[in-house]
Amino acid sequence: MMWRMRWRALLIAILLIVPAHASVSFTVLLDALASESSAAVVMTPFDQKSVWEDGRIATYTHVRVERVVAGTIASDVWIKTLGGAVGDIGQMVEGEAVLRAGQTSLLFITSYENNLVVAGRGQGQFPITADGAGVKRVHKNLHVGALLAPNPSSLARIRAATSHPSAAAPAGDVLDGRTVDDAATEIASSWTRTHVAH
Amino acid sequence: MWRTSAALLAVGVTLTISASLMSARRAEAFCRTTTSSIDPSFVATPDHPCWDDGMPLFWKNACVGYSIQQDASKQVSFNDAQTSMETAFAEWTSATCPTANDTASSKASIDVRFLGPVACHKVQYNSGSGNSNTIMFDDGTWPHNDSNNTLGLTTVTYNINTGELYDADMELNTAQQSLTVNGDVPSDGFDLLSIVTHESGHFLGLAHSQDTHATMFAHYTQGATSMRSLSADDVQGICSVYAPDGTRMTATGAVPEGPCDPTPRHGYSGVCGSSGCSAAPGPTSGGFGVLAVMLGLVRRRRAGRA
Repeated sequence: MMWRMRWRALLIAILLIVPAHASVSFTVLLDALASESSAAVVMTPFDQKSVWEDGRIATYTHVRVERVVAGTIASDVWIKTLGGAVGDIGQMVEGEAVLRAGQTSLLFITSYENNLVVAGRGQGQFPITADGAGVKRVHKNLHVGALLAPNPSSLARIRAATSHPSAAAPAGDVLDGRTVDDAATEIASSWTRTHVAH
Repeated sequence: MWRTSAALLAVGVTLTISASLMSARRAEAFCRTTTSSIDPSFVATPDHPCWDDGMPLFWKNACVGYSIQQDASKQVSFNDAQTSMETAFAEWTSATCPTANDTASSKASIDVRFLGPVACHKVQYNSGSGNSNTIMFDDGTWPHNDSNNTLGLTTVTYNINTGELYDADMELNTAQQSLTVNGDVPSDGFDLLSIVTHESGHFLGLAHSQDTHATMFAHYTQGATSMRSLSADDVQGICSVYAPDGTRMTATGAVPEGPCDPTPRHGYSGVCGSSGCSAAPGPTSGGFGVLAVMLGLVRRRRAGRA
């Protein structure tokens, strides 16, 4: 009986694993993410500093751009995210992208109030890790806050513009588990639809 | 987020304790927010379902105050906002915790008290002057780069060495999205009370739960109202942080609660730093109103603890 209960608890735990963090946001679609971005890059942070800005803590992360997947951007840039730590005080803004030194990600980047920021906040960040065979793969960020179904108006707009199957699919689902090259091809296709055509 | 070396040392010492605390409750699904942002490459497993790096967050005092932006929203009147927030917080603070001893108080040892309206409309923490934990609505422009995507956002400020919460502000995006305040929620609608009950859990230091029935579950279904009511897992979560005996479970063990003083850190103020926002004159609940609410809550708390 005890073993059965343990197995049941284990099974439930496996089935229910979900990301642990939150704001409340719509799931971002691939073409929506591409259209609001000025560049998509593979990058690795190497420096970071957090500062107070009008009662908020903002973190500026210096990243080395290793590959420009789409758009145009310099080879190393500072990216602003909200939250961070200054002295003994920390501030956390749920759903933000989390850039850590040495950890490579695929990032969708846009400009906001004269800074480069991550488009779609945490949903625009895709950590890259090597699989068992050493192949680098892109992963969906599981810690982006509470998610809703895609925004209906965004979905309708994209479907009106294209019938491409990936266009109106969640960006995380389209890119998750794909090799960097494969993901780059997908993003380039989306970029053509969302940037060149308009 | 980089830690100081002192904090790193503290983490090293306390992670073992934290891990044992976590492993001791693997049957539950709730998680706590910690001082460390979740690594985007972190993948939860049955043995390690919660991100437990850093210090779990908690309010030290027995009472926490909050304010609402005085002009609320075109969609949500001030009175409706106040009612929703009071209902949402009460759902958490009235949680009855399982206790081994029938004679002990079974109520979660945290009260959240409305301190009145504020004119200030900014997420902000002032380290050298007064503060307010503000619930605010953005009717005009959502002040973030993802205006089409985010409905609600809670920002928390804390001590990185202890996990003690210093400030929490909640933003609701009424610029782009419609929220249902009263009546039936349409199947494609967003229930304000569900959203603020979920966000209130974050305000109190909880992270997302793995329990699909929990208010703190990470996915909200449009049209749903189930998040208005706490699940058993939510109750276990709030009770694990704010135990009925008045202690707060921290990474270093249980610590006693502070006094029932809902005044925000460094004093109550609606001032937005140097930009000069000021506390509202207090229309529906001026000084007397706030006092009355606080006295009422003190009575209720005493009755609940008797």
